[in-house]
Amino acid sequence: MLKKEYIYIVMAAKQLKELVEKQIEKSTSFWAGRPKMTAQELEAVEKFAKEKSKLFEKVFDSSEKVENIIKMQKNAL
Amino acid sequence: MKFLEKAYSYRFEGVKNEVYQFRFISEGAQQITKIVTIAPVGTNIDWYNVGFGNLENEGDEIIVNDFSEVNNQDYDEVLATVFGCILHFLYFNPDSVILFFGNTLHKHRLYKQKISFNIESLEQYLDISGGKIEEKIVVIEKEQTVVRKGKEHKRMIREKDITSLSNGVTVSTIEKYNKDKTSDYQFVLFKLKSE
Repeated sequence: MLKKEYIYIVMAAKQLKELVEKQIEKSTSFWAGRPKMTAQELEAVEKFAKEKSKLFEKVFDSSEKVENIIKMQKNAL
Repeated sequence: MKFLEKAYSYRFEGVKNEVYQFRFISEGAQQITKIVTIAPVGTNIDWYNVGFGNLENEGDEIIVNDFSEVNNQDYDEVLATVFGCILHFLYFNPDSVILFFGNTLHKHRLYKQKISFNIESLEQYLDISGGKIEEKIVVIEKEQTVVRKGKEHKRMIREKDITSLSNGVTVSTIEKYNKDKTSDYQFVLFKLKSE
């Protein structure tokens, strides 16, 4: 990797860390004292996510396909 | 204001059965609780799908509705928050890939427009690529009633029937995201910037 690229990636990682930490701090004060999600709400969220994931079963249904997709994604970068 | 700075304060609700759960409140004419989920797409690939929608009551049941007609027209803020959640997730899972697409033609187009418009902000942290599949996705037209400024309007949504892809799906191409070719992309991928 070129030195310039390495510095750029390190800077991006540092900026991401700052961004996420800032958001967590902002979020902590915003959500303080607000009610937590109920068990029923959490269950609904999980159900929603699982239903969405099911849609991809046919995309990643063989190790050959998965390998090919990963290869395409890596080559695209 | 930069795109990502428009994000609402989201709350990370935790991980349950591999599903990362986030919650935030969209502010406007009404307060709408929105949910973002990041869930694995398969067992043998480190890819995750992003889903988001309104937390709603449907009779006695609570659901996450990603076809909801209720919104505050705050698309930038909502999408910036979704990206905040994605970056939060990737910060703790730096090798994962996020798969992103809209569940209606309108939303899919809108999201790609927003990504293209804010590409510099996003590329500060992310490598972005766009992909196509070989199969044609069936589109179902559904009528929806939306309330804007107290008035009811009828509109037609064109929902993608992904369940129609019953004989398997083949990804044909994945390429570096190109703002001029977004109409071709059926999905968008995000990965943390790497070597």
